[in-house]
Amino acid sequence: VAAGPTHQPVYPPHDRGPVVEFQRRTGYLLAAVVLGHVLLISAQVGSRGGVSVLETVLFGGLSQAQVAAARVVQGITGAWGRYVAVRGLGQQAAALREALDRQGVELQHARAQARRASELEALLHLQRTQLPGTLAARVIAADPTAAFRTITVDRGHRDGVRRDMAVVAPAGVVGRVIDQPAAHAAKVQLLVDRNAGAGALLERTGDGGVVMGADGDPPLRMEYVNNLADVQVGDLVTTSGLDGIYPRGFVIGRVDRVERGSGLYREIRVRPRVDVSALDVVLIVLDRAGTGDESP
Amino acid sequence: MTRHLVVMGAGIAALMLQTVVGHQLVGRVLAADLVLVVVVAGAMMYGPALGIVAGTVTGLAQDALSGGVLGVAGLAKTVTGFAAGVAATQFIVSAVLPRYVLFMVMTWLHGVCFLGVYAMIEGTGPGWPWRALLVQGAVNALIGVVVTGVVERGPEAWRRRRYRSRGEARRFHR
Repeated sequence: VAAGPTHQPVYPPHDRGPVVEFQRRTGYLLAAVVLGHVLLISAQVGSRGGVSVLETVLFGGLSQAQVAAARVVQGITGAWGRYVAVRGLGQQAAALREALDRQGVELQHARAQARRASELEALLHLQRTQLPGTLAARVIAADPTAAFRTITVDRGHRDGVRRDMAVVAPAGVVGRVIDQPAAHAAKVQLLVDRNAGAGALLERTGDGGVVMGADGDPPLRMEYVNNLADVQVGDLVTTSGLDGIYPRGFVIGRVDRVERGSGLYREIRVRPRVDVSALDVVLIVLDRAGTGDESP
Repeated sequence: MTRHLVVMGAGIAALMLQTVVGHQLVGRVLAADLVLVVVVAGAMMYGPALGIVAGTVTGLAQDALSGGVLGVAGLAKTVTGFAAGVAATQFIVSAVLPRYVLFMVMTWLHGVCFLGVYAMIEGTGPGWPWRALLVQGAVNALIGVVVTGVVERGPEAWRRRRYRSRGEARRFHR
């Protein structure tokens, strides 16, 4: 079979063909998109407030998808837990009953101590401190990038959550709410994030400083503690309440490493009490009643 | 247009998988960047223009859910999507090894862009976690090779299997 004549398209001299044209268009598209991103980043870095509208809208929409996905996954894992993995529940119940009995005794002791403390407070005319109001929230997602340590919780501004509210767990401090919360979701910056910080003090000596997130292990460092201060490995570090975010007296962690610094301050590493990789439910501190100064 | 929507949908699904399922089931963030895998795979299959669009949309979505500055992951993923599309048009990446290398190199390029922009913004930035980047590159490449292999060969293999089983059924009835 004889091959027919091939028809090659002939382009005028000013037209460089569809491939080159497509490449040129792709180049323009890339340049436009990169420029848009640079402007977006510059606007946030310059104003320090962030492009809140775009970020809020994006976060609001995507967090709804996260909530839905979390419900599906929790439903599946919950069904597994309830109906399939029932083996060993008897032993677990016995252990829990034992722990409950032990905690009942501890509660009685704590109540007795609290009674004595309130008597002393009345005697010394000290200002009473109250437990801050909290709201339980479920952790639904982690940060999509490894460079930041944030989580998303399923409570937002419709539940009364506001920016800069402290987030705690039974074991201690977790972090604070950042950015504008969506209707039913909020971003929480963990205390171990390298941009996070909290006013802190050493419980044994009362020396104050600032605890910040750090790279490496342990993931917290305590800054601005004088070289002359008495700091020992194992000292308990709690919040000081001076930062205006975290209520006073919540546990941050324990001193893991302490060295004499080259300048005025010690180099202290703190191991956090809360295991942030295993967080499931957290408490958002709605009011800061516990931060009142206890001076007479 | 349909391709763009499918790749972007896959990118958002990967983001949900990474943040929600990864957290709920694994208990921590996965070592892999599944969104990047989708962007590179889309650009490799359908060209640099799709890489740019998919990188922009999924990167911005990732930024919105993250604690960082909005636009940084978007910029890094846009550049990576474009580079992956151009590389796929210049080199033959149909075999497993070149494809693995492409995913790995694109992960490093993404890491350099992402960390470089933060280094410029903050002065110090998150540092240069080379070991984590190496691990992420290897994991991304493995997932990418498997996923693109399944997407390319899966439908054909499924059709062949159905055809074969139908033929066997006919023979059995005879």
